[in-house]
Amino acid sequence: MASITIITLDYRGDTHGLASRLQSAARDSMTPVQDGVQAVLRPIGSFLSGALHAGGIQQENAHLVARMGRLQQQASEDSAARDQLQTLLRLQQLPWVGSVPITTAQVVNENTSNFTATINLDKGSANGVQDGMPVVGNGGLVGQVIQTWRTGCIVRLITDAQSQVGVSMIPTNGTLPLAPDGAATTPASTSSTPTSTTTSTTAASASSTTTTTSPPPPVPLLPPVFGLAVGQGLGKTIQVQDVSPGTQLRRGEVITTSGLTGAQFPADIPVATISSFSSTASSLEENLIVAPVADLGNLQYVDVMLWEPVALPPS
Amino acid sequence: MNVGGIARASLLLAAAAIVQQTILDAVRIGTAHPDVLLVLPVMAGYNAGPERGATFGFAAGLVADLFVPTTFGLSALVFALVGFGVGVVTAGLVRGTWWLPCLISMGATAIGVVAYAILLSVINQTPIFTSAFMTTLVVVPLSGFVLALPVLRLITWAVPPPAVVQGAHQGPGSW
Repeated sequence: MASITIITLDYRGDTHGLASRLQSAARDSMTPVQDGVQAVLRPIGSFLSGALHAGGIQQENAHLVARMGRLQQQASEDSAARDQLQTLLRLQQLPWVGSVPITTAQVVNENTSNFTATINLDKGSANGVQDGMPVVGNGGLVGQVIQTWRTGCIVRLITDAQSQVGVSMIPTNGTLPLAPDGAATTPASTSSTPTSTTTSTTAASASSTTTTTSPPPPVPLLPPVFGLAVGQGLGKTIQVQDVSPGTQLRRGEVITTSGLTGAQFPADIPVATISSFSSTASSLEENLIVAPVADLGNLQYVDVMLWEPVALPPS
Repeated sequence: MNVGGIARASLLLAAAAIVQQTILDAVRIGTAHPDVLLVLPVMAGYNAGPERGATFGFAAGLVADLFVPTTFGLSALVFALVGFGVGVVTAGLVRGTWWLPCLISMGATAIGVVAYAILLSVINQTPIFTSAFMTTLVVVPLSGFVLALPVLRLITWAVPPPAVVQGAHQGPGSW
């Protein structure tokens, strides 16, 4: 009876403050013990792991060195495009994730409950981390801070069954290959009224090039499609809801946070790639399955974005 | 239970929480890890009967709830029910074999995992029958089998059976 009473009060929110304080105190007191035990056990575990997987580690190391070289090359190639994108975003006065301050944190524990997809970080309220802040890492969105104490916090991963992320994606009509000058191109049959952004871009590039080939006609990107990425539980994929049936999508396309008014995340954070999509004639929405961009099973360090969701005014 | 008994039980709970948080949470098999805090009330019910099993399970569940991001009090409810149930079911068993508590621990922790998942699903309105749940349903009972004997030794020290008073009224048929 006592436990049912506690559950009921917690569900109604009546004991949330008391329970949170108790949990914060317990976790704060546990942190030095955890650090001490891990300091003792980690070298032993690393030694045993290294002895058992020496061959595999050497292969993985060589693979990572090669991959790092490719990424460095790609990064240098992308820098010019990134500068151009920053300029365009400034012109459009869009919020850019790169301007949000971050704090880097180490993952100290995973899935403290067998029934939730969460990670524990070693940065907490003492470092400015608060409930609701987004967490990114491994190239994409990782999750959101749901509980904070002085020396740590719990992050709900985007695959957790209670996770919901507002996302946006561009229909295939708009995801066109980029021309060498960075302008979007398309066959004439799909062209429509160009926007000022694409016009200015192509005009600038046209003035600087001396090649004889005529530039393809510029085409604006189609308006993005919005949806809600809902986790399906530990070890499962993510389902995107509220996407109209028949929306033309492309497998492998990256979907990003929508950043709509009142959203829980800033705009333009890569969330997931489209794995599959389908709909029938009687479908009310597209059956859209996506896989996280970030490798959530291999998180060691992540960045907490010191960005608080803006609460909507009561309607 | 006297003050010394409460102190021993509290000490055992604190030690179990430390072991769970520092060692067992890192022992991952698939997506699941062993849960010693669930084995505690099972062995308490086995050793000390339904009443103490439920009481100790409630306390162990509250400790567990301090460290997980799920609804506060849910572990306390499940652990108390498991401790009580094990106490009732095993009350008439002859305890002559070493593996009996291991089997009871395995079965009871499996029931505890299912009960927890169902209640969590009802409260959060989320799906439960995922591959991760099946992994948990294998890992936690197997680890319960392994942990049963050492935990039973500690429980025998911390949560002994209630003393039977000679001549006391023990129910309708006792006189």
